[in-house]
Amino acid sequence: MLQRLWRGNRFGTFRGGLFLPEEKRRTRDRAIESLPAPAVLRVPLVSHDGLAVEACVEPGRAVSRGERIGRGDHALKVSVHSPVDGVVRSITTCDTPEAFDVPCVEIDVRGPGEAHAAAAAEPNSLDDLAARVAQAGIVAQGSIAMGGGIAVASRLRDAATRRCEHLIINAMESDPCITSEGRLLVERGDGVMAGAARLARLLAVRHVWLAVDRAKRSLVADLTARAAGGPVRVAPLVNKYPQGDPALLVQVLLRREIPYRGVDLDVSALVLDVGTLVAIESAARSGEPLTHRLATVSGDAVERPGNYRIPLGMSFRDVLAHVKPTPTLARVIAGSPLTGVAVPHLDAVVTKRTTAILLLSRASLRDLRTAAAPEACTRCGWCVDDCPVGLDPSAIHAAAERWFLARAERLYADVCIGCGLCSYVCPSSLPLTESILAVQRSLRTAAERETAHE
Amino acid sequence: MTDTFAMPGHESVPPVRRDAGEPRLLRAGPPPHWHGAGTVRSASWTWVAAALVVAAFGIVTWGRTAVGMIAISVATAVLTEAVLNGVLPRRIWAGSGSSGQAVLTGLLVALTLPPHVCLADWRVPVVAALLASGVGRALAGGYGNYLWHPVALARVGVELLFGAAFASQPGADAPFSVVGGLAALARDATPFEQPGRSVLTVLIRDYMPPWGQTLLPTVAAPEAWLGPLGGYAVGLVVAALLLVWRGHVRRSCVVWTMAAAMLTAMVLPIYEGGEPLWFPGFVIDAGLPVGFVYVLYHLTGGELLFVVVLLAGDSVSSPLTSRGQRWFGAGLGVLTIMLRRYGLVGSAGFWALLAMNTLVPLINWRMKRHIYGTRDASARGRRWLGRGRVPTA
Repeated sequence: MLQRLWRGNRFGTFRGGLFLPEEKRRTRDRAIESLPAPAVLRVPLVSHDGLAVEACVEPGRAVSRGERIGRGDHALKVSVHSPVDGVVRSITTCDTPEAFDVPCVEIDVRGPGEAHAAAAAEPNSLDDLAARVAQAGIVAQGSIAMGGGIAVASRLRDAATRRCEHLIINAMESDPCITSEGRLLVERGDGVMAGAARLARLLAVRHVWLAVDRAKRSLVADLTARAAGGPVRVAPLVNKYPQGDPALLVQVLLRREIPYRGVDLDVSALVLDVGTLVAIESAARSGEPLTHRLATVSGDAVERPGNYRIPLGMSFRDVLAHVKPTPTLARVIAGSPLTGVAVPHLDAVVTKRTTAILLLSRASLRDLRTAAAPEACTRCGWCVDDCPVGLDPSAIHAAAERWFLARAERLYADVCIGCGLCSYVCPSSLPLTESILAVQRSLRTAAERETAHE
Repeated sequence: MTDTFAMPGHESVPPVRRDAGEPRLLRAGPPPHWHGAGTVRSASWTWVAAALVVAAFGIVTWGRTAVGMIAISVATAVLTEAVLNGVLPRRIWAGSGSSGQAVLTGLLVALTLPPHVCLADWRVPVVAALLASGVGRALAGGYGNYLWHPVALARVGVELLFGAAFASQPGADAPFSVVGGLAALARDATPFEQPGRSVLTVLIRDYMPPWGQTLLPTVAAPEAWLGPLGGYAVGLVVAALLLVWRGHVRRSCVVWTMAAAMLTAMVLPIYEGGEPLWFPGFVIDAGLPVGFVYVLYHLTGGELLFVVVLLAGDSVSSPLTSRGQRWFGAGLGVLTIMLRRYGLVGSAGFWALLAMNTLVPLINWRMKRHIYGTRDASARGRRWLGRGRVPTA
């Protein structure tokens, strides 16, 4: 307590976690640029967790920018819109970083098209806003491990039916290398504040928190000045990885824990990241759909790193053609170094869940598992000490190896937030995160089967 | 010009186009794509470096005897490990040769043995290293699985097997031996009783060597023998700093062990004329804080510091969590002093460590970290689909 007061850190931090090398220097001061669309886009018709969305266009049809091409008809499925003006060439399949053979709409690009600029009437209720967000096909913009990719409209509808006291805007950006949301705050800080105020009014929340890395002093000062007189309170937090996880934000800011298998609304809080808030604001003001993905392109194997708005469905090959990889490129990662997915080949396309594109050389890969086989667990306890949610990853891994699902469930494997720290620190190079996430998937499938059976 | 390639591990993916000059990507592995600096190999060699610091003090003090004993012990441990790796169906330790675990085992075994035992019977270090590598580790299931620290087990084992050699140790039974002298206070303080003086004053003033010699041995003579491991305190402190800095030993374990040992030594009674004198750590006689010096002897003499720094911090045989390490350390400190004072065993620290190793599963079970979101037990029954706390709908 004294230490916190002495350092002016009134919020404190959570147990576990690590201060990782940030590696944000190359991109944090680069303004957001738009990448030009290539000749052909393959826009994936896929929503959260790989659920396919039904195409609502047919080959040969001309589409304009922002026109709906995939119809979402379920809480987890969001609509998909064309990022360009063009002609539908075919309904086919493509690969994404997360899945293979995903249905997609192949579009011959005729031009970038006009951004949707029609002013819309102010949304008068949360349901109205949720409907606009659903129409715009907005998903959470954070990294997958931090709840990214989830349909935002369904969350807003949930919030409308339940008591919500706190709105937390997540601008922590605790993942290494990623700077796009920080840039969004710098360039569209007023929009963020306005969006937060509008959402707070519709949600009728008591408190609005804007969680920012306290090390970014100038940004904190700037945001505090912009927030003066408004409902938003800037909360500078210690940026220990993975502070950006919604559960840990709730813990640190509100001194509450989201109950086991619960959601943030169970503790009367709604956590949204900055990118999502900006997308909601655009949808609310002008009905602009989500057609581009804001992503940081970084790493040591890229000549033109930066923060880019990338049209959905653009292949990694086309992205690389613009950002110029160096000859040392060894791996392309969609996402952060700890939670991102290695891109299997360059014909894979950018989706709504691609938070960053990292181009790493073998020297910077720091992935010892490419060279060394996992060794026996030495029970060093580093994974236990560093786990931000207090799990025993080595025990869950041991249970998973023998496929003792019941035991893994008793060890609360499904509490894991997938931050990847256990695998990061493991001196034996054990695939701890991988095992736990596999257990989670199995438990989920079993629960779904059970529900279907009932 | 184009060619095709498929990513290893993704054979189900149809071959895709690769333009001329385009880099060939590495195997698409799972996250994380970064890894912390710590590896088993680096950890092993850090431990070896820490042990070598202590060994250097031993070599300076005991010369060729120490060098010979270390060489025999290390060679035996490495050979044992190599043979067992070849014979056993499953390798007891993946990459043991390179990771330095065999070297470390041999080195630690040598450091636990008094040099004079080796002179009395050359088989002692050989058998000790065999016990540590073969029995303590291989038969216990290999690295990562043993319950008792192999080196402590070997040390206790050879003491039982070669009692005569250990008894030949000069100074082992002498009243000025730190461990022997302090332990004597629990049983029979008659040799130190003088009219008008506390036994502590007499013991420290007339029988014990200066306390400074428990920190850094200055005389390599049998008369300066301070017990099996006395005299390496400075080396052990340096080793402890190195291991704590590198994160291989938790400072909570070291601090709690020493604090518990200090408190126990301060509180446990000594006997003066058959009457118990409680709180000997606070005794001040003729203006001298003899009680405090008595406690310092306990902390720096004997095997306590060695056990705390180089054995108790072993990750395999100690608790997983920092909270567990505190209780483990506290138990180790209390037990060591109690065994010194009231036990019948020679190497109190090693026995105390083995006893605490036995309790590690219990400590691990009781000292689990709080798991996020599980404070409210009534919430467990809810059958939400999805991945826990992060909303899916």
